[in-house]
Amino acid sequence: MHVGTGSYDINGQLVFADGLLAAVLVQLSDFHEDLAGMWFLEAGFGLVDTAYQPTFADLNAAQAWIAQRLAHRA
Amino acid sequence: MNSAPDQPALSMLIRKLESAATLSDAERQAVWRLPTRIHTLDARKNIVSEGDQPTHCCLILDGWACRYVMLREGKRQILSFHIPGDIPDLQSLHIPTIDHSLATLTKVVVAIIPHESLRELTARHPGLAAAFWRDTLLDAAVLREWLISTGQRLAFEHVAHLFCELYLRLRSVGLAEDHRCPMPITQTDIADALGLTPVHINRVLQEMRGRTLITLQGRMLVIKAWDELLRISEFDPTYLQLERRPDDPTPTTRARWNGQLRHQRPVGLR
Repeated sequence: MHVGTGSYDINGQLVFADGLLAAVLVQLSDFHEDLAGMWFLEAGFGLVDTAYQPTFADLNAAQAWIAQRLAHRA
Repeated sequence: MNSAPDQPALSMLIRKLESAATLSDAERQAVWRLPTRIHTLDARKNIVSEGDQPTHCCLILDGWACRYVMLREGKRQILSFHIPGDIPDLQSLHIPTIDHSLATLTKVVVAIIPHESLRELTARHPGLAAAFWRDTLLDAAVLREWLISTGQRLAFEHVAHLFCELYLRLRSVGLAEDHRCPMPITQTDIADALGLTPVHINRVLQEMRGRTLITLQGRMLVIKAWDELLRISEFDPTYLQLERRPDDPTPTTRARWNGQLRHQRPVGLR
């Protein structure tokens, strides 16, 4: 899945929960130096929406964070 | 304590106050007689912490500082950047309890001026009281402009606007020229000031470099396309109330949009 972020970060993943789109994750390109290869919450919907979009070391960490958001209302 | 009439710390303050108003000889002498203590602080240290009740104000002589508030999960909102000539805690003179923190971003040299001396000074010299008052009003004007950026500008426009503002502010105190200025802050600092993430800031800077709008080298910002940066960020320098130079942006760009509200929807309508 390629995402048009207007940057070099185009490698993305759609995250679904109960058949509904919950988040779009994008892998950070080499231009991000120390963050390169990590996954950025490009967009979160509903309970996954957040004022400050986090970056995750890998997809497992991202998935765990999203699951936690969906399980607990803020 | 140092009260020599030629101390550079107070020359800095006089320069700042005179950028707004003409001081009389008596007023200038009175500022020179202010007692100050000079302190050097390391980078990333609090000068004043939220909840403090300071008994003095800090005039920045060298380096950069910021006002900020910490929220849960280590989230930080930077409220303003401060450069030499600024007195970022001037409001503590009349608002006893500080509702935010003030920290150094780089190594900083400050001149500490007791509240008591400032109160005495402003009581005796209404012209100086007005000059200090004006300084806090300009502070609020910058905050209004930041609010506009946060609410209405895209990340790219927002960063461009910040660069234009910082360049003009630095130039007004003699620390920038020819579209070059020091930029000793990190991408995370900019992100925390603009309500964005370091990922967004890095993307914006990559694009700005790619379009040859700016270069960033060795903590120095070089604006390669000043007019373009002004246009992109819809930068109107009126709020900074600075002396204009021939190549400065026209201070009327925004007035022409007055009255052209995009759309309105009453609160409560579904």
